[in-house]
Amino acid sequence: MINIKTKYSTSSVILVLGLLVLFIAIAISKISITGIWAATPNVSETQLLARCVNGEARGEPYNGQVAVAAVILNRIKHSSFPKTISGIIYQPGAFTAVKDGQINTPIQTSSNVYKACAAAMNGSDPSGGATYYYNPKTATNNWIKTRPIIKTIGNHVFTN
Amino acid sequence: MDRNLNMKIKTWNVNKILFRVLILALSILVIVGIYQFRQVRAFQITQTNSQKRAFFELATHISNIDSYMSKVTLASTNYQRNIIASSLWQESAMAQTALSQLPLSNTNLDNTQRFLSQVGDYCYGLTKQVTTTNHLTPEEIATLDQLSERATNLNAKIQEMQNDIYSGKLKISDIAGSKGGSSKKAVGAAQQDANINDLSSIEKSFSDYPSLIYDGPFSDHLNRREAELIKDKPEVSADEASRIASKFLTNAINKPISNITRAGDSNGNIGTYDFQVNTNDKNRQITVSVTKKGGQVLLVLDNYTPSEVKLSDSEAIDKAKKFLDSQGIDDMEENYFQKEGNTITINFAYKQDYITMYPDLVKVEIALDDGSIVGYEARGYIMCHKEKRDLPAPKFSEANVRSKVNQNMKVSSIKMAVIPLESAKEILCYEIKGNYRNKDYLLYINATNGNEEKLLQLLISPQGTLTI
Repeated sequence: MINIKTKYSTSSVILVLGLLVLFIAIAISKISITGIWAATPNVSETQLLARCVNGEARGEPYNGQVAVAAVILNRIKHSSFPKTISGIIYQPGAFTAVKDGQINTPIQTSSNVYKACAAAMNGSDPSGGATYYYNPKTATNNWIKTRPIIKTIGNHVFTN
Repeated sequence: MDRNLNMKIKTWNVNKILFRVLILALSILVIVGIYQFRQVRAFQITQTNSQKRAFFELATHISNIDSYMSKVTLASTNYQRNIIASSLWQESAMAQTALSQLPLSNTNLDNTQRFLSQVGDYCYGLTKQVTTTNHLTPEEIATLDQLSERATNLNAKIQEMQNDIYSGKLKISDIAGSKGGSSKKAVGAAQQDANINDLSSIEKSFSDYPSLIYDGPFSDHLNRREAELIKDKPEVSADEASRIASKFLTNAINKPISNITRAGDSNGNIGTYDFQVNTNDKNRQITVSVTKKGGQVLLVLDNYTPSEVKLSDSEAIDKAKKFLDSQGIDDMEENYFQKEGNTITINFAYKQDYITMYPDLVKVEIALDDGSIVGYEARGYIMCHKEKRDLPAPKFSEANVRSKVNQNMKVSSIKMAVIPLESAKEILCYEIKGNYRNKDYLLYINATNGNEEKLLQLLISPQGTLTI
């Protein structure tokens, strides 16, 4: 028999490569699972609102963030939507931040987003009573583009 | 030649090792893949179950609504009618909850939702109203008959869909659009077009659903209110509005404004010119909205957060009051406040003679470091304010009211106020503040008929007062 002298033994090479593959596979699976399962402790309504607004309007100007929060609050008074903040936010398909798990990022009470939500909860409504908003650059839903525009702030157009 | 052979054998053996490693890696991947696949399947089944549950619950509640609606005009006594109306209210709430748990794809179920909302709300209104006589008015009967017919149609369609799901003709994922379909209510992202599904045919049957106007929070008249303060005032130009905004803000923040630029218009319930204001602080974002009619400042948003507190609450309230006076908004009385992030937001209500007009609300936010105005909200005031309201004469005195109140409550003060009901109707009331079982409450007793219109619990803390 011919003996092969390699620096490392055969079995250790196999072991290392096998483990590497396993780790990669687990890493891929974990990335997709924990996005849905990140733990959320009990939060007040303003915190929940802030998390949603952060996911939806992170780079927007301050009044744009107040407007997004106001849209959510306007839906409470509107007969076509659920009657609670959490019902509106978690209505399936309503907000992409909920769909992709961005809503699970905790928000500091000292942040601009939180302040914007507190202002909206106090009644400030720069959206003019809107119950929908969309980004005209990315939205392909044709119905919403037919609605009369109430206001445009930053990347968002607000309508009813 | 011997060396070549050695090299070839060496290569072949290395290849054998590599080959074995690859096989091992592949089998690990396959195992992980199968495990993943099984997990995804399990999740899918769980999700389908939730959707089915939501749909079947919806069908049950709609069926109940249909049944109760057919009985509500049959009942001839308040007693039974109120029982039915309460049940209808409950069923409508549960139907809406079930509906809101269904991920809806491209259809707009707004009218269906609105119908369910208004059925419950209207019937709740009936339970409050029909107290003196056992009879319904002809208008009420006509409205109820109309609602009943709609309920029957809705029920028939839902039952049909339910049968289709049972027989396999329709899959819950078709209704729920979980094939990655777009949602009309989805915002802010790219969406794909989805197939039309059966729920759209239900919605079509509601397309001619007329607006319903009644004494409740979801009545359609609330979408069409006119702003009382400015409805008869002329429209101001954008330049004029810019000057108004500039002057307002200069008074408000005591800091130089480097420039003020137009930031579009708002065509909502109150039309406004909107402005962006820049100071020498680059991070500070200030926006001002001025109404087109009458040039009133409606809203000021400012993201300034003070880093320290130098003013007391009463000093801040004083500054806010002085500011309102300087803007010509007179006779405003401070009510409650809330503190958050080193600012204080104070609610002011108009006082006509000695009566507080709660609908005429202005909220002023003061920075607790330098006393500047860093927030302003006057929607209530602009929508409702009248210099002089015609008020009915109260039918009984303060002493009478005291005797009407629960005797276990320790009354601390009584005053008169006008409050808005959820339907925006305004009622003259006695406002009674008191303590009951160690909790603070506000009671509003209708001054003309003695009804207890509203009971509010007061949550008082150093951060402010909340009413619930």
